[in-house]
Amino acid sequence: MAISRFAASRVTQGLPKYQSAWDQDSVALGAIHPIQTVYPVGAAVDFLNIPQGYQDLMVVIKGRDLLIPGPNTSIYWGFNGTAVAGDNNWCELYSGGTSAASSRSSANQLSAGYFLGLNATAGIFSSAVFNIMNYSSSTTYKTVLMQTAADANGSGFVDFSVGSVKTSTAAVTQLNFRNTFVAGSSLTLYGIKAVGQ
Amino acid sequence: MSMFPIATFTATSSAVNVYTFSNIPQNFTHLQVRATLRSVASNPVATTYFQFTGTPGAGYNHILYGDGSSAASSNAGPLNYGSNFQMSPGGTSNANFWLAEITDILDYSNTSRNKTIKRFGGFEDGTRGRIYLNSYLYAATTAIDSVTISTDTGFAVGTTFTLYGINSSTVTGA
Repeated sequence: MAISRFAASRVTQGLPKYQSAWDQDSVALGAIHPIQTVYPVGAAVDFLNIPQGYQDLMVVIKGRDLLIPGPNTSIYWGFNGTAVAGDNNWCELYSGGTSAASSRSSANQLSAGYFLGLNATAGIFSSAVFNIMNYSSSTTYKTVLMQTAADANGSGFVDFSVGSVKTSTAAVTQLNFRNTFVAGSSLTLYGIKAVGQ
Repeated sequence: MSMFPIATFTATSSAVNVYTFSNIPQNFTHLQVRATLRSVASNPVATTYFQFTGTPGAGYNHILYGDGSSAASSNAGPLNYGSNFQMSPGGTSNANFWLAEITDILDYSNTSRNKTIKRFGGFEDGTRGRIYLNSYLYAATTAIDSVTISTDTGFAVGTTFTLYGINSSTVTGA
């Protein structure tokens, strides 16, 4: 643990419950640490060998699918390279601009909301934020919160979803995104630290 | 914007059904609570409560939610028990599935404005699901220096709450 930054405000204001005020890595960067950003060009994306030293993970996505027909598709993804039929469940709340609706489904991978597809108006990208809670636990099924927005300039969807994967209780070491992301897309993985991490 | 962990609670006994983050430092711009939660109450879906410093009786709750078959919205108030609704997995939900929730408490230390709290969360246990977005009006200008989270009967062992403080940029104000 190197001491490379210690602001005067930390002395005068303090963080009384924070145990690592001398830790440059924790204090200067805060709780949200960028782990990796991928800029796919007509490819799927895997985050591999994810560090286990965080409380939660967050993925921020900008992009659209290169191959799936239609103005809209979904983000298809899973954990740890597994794909067991029916073991990925999700419940969503969404709207296409007229009324809200909710549905539940299961499959061999998670399906997150709405994401622009092959036939969406050129030059428009979807956005999404996923939170993978308590990902390093080896004793619990994991719960993920997913928010997606896909606006096609005249039509579009917003979606809030919760998903769980009962394939196993293993720690999440991989995130596997199955879409073929168009050039210009980006996926950034963050780690979120708790106290003492 | 930078986010800093302030305190973490992990339930080690299901006899505990309430936890309070107290003496919250007032030198952040916003707060966030990230929770992984399950109740041991004897039903499949339990209620979780968020209360704030001396929760005023005039607080109001609005919620938009889905259960997999329909979307609905409701409101309630004035509430004596803070932001509360029945959306968490209970003791008879399928084993080992957990609620995930992210709660944002904006401008919490302001002493001249009421506060609006946003809760976003849900769970899916393979038999039932809940997904929600909640707005709660803390109808007081009191600075929030405590957050109390409680549930029916008790928290399942392993329930975790982490409180974060969020700073604005001194350069851009963002």
